[in-house]
Amino acid sequence: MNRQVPTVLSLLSTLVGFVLFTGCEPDVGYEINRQASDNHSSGSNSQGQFVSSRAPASRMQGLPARTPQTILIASFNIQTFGKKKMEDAWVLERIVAVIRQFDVVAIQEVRAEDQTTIPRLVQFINSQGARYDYLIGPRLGRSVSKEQYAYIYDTSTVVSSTDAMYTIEDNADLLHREPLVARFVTRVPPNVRPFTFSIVNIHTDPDEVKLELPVMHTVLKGIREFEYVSAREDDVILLGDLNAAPHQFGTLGQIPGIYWTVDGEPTNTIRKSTWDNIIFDRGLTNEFTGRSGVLDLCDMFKIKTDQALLISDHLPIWAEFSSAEQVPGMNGQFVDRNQTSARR
Amino acid sequence: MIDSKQLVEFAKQPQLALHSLKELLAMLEGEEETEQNCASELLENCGAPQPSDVSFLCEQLRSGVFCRVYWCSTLLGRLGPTVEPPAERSRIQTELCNTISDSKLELTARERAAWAMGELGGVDGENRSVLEKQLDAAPARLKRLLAAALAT
Repeated sequence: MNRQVPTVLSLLSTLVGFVLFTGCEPDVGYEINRQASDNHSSGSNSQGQFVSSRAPASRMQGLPARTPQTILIASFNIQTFGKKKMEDAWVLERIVAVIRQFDVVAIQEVRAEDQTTIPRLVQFINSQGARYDYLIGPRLGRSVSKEQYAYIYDTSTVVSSTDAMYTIEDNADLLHREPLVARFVTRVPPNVRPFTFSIVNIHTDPDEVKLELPVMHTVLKGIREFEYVSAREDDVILLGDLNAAPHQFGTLGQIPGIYWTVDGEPTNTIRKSTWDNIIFDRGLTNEFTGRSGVLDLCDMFKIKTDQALLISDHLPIWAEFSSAEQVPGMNGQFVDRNQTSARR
Repeated sequence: MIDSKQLVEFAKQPQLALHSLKELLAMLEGEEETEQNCASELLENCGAPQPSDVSFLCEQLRSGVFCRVYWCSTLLGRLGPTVEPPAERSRIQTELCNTISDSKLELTARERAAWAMGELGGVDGENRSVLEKQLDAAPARLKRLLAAALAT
């Protein structure tokens, strides 16, 4: 933790308040750490390293090689993900292959009244020997078509639980789909301090971007304060489909230290617009290794744009982080806890 | 019903979905959730309608059907401040004012109509009075959207 402690939870105001969606208690950060410690054996190899169960990464797609020292976090809007895509074997196979490239995938646009969609997707992911689990939020939206946010994560490299998840309560109804926040911790050897982080999953309303983006900096600031006060968490990563390129971020992009991983590269499948991003404070989240990108589905599967559009009109975006918590001044390197102590 | 080949075309060129407005609105009311979702997605992405669609969209505002009113308000709002001539803009605003004033409609549809008023901008005298009258009793979000419309 390398941040000054805010003394008050200032965002519990008329603008945005927080209600813990699934009973997330103030000491949940410690709970997660305890679980990580208890479950270390399930994800370790014979050398005591913690190896992802995700499929071998393909360097030609620009994804870094898989290592125990890093994790890959992704955001993927799977455009109207529900019954139709689940019943299409070709599409499903490719969605599964995408998710298996990453340790944590934040998903937008789960659109299905039937609540078996994500559990069944995870079953497919795990059918080839992986150990992924999921978190899913409530159905949200103002029109007939409701959406859910979800997280799918590799339990051999990261830990979370429904107790570590909540939906922002937006009392003033400023956002169409209130963000879903979830806390994660990496699995690391006992002598390494795990990287703990909170992800804020957001999908703005494309018609109300002009109304939603101006409040996004307040939302992020409030979540950061809440996360620090309630869980001593300083690594808060806002990601998702913002329906906006960085030049449209306004005050969100002016937060001191703020960094976005996608700039100038389209994230839609037809490669015309930048809609999605991964945003965090680079000074605080110095676990970021500097590697990030947009996963081109056409390259990955050797398919044409027409076919990629059957999967989604968005491309997955990703960023790589150290699986070890970093100390100030370090950048994305795997630091042994003993070394950390010595430096302090 | 829109077939999968059309869906791919619409994904590549979202504005093409505007040629199937009637079908999309019908799909919104269908019993199949997949169809409803598909129609919602296409309406989200199709952009602004053609001026020739305005009469049809205004007619749908009078349907009293939530999903039709919600999406037709959205489409009308996407026309933005460039609607010409002013009489045409005033006509659209009058229809939207009727929607906003219809207390039987679901609030989110009325809110979307208020949002559309703000997008069109330049609210004229008679419609301005209607909005001001609604302002006092409106719930928070509707009030905010009405105030934004009146400020244009």
